[in-house]
Amino acid sequence: MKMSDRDKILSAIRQANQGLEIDRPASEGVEILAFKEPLAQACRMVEAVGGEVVRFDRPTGFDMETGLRELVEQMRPGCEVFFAINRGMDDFERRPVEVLVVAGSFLVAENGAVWVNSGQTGSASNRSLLFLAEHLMLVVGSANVVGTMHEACKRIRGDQSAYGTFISGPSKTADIEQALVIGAQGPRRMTLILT
Amino acid sequence: MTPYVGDLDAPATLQRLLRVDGVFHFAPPPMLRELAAGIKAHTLGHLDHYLEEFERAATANGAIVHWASDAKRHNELVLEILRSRGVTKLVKSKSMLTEECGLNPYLELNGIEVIDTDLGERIIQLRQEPPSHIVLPAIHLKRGDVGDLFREQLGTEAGNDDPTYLTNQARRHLRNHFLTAGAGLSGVNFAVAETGGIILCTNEGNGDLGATYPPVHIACMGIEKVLPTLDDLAVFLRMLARSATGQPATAYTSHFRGPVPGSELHIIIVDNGRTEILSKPAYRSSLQCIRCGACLNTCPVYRRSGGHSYGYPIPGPIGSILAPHRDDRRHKSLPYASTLCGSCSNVCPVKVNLHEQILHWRQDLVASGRLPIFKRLIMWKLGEIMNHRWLYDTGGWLLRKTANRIPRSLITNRLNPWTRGREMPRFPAHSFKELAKKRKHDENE
Repeated sequence: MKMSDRDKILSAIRQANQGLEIDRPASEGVEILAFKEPLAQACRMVEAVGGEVVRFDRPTGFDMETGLRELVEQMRPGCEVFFAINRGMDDFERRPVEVLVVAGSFLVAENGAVWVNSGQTGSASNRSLLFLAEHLMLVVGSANVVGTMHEACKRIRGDQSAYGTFISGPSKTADIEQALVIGAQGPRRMTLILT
Repeated sequence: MTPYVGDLDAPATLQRLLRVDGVFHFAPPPMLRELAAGIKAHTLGHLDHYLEEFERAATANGAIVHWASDAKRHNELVLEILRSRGVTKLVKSKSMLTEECGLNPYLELNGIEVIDTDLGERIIQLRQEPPSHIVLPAIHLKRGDVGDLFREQLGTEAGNDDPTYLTNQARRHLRNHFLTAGAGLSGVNFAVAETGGIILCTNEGNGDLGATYPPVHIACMGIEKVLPTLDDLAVFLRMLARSATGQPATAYTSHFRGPVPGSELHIIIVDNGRTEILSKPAYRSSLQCIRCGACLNTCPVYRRSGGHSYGYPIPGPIGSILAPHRDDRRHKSLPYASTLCGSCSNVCPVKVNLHEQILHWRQDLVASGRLPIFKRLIMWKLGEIMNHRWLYDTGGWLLRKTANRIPRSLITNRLNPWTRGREMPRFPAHSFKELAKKRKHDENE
């Protein structure tokens, strides 16, 4: 009987590994970075990779959403905005747009990355909006910061969403003579709004 | 179009320096490298187990997992998926695996329009040439070359070679392709067995756009890409971008854990010679490679000769080890194009002993008779001389007495290829041994 490709591959692997016992490496002693000021480090990293950081202190009496909408309007007056806070991206058309505002789960200090998952963005069918927008704004609570990717990966363990991504700054490329160009094919601008 | 013959010393050095800058910003590299190497070695040792776990988890998420034992089957599978869904245009982000399998020409022959969307890949696709680096495919080109190319093919302004302008033009040109393609294809940087998810690390946004906008996403991975858990993934996510370009992270690190409603996710697991490498103790650790390109950037040979000179999609030290496995007749010269300086092994984030494997290949090639006969004869003769001290000493003495007297024209001429671009050095009057003996004698007096 003809062996399936799957069986061929698996049996070749077993053959190659016959008699070998390679244990997992010990992970004690691996220094996990501890930042004294994780939030400050995260902001530094966001700026280092071409993003902007804006602190949004909620004015008393206003609710978060209204306040944020006003902030966005201030930053990008007259632009078309898909405001996907408290609603998923599914509510919007799947097409290029000037500004997209989305909630991020948490921030990673060592590289300024923001975890954005489809749990906050609905069914994730319109996750491509994250890349079709010209200007992406990520809203993250300033208490939601972890130090390193070790902690970040632990944190996303329970995540059941079909799609999630760590976004670190705007899109970029250095493919032409290694000249760094901010704004390649994804968003040309990225703003982190800390609440 | 004249190919730019690659003196990549300047651009590769820049990458090398960027890496140094990035690597020393965090945990002492030795410990993290040790851990990374250990995780990979353990995973390879239990690869069947982890691949099966990955397949189970991915399938439970709703992804469709396929297996391909060779390039041919891989290409056929991609075509089958595309045809069965009536796809005629495919957007593709960078995947060295698909280069290795020759996917593009196969699909084009079968009537599929293939658009490479990574900027560097698109540039070389338009120029109809292969990539010269695994991270920066167009590293061999200057901005003027790209400016000319875009003027010709995309109708951009003549004489404008500003990288920002050119990138924006490419963005406009490619965007429409994303919005009209029937499917998107990507590689896989890491596959996590625990979650059944695949990880894509990119900077431009084209990878994610291509994978999330069209209704079908095909992800191609080599068997060695799997990692056991998310904790293991963290180690590699800290290392990959830093090792490749000195960035703390790529702009996008995306986890695809199954299709979203209304779309499909296909994962193709490919062998294509990897199990054979796994079965060879001397070379199996080369499967730990995460394709960061650090070895290329540091290699003095790669920097001087460029990626195209290797004649294989993956150049540099890692390419010189992988290529002869593919075809040891065609690529038999690659392990010899090395100074064995060991810088590659020094920079490798997963501690592959690259320079030792290159040396091992030389031994294997000689053993299988791949060395050209002229070289074999010389090596044999030299071996004889070196094995008999009196022959060596006498021969050397004779050479020192006579070689300098031979007329130059007898040695430096068209018949002697070694002298093309080289001058025969003058032989010294005495050998080192003679000098040392004499000095000892003088001291004792």
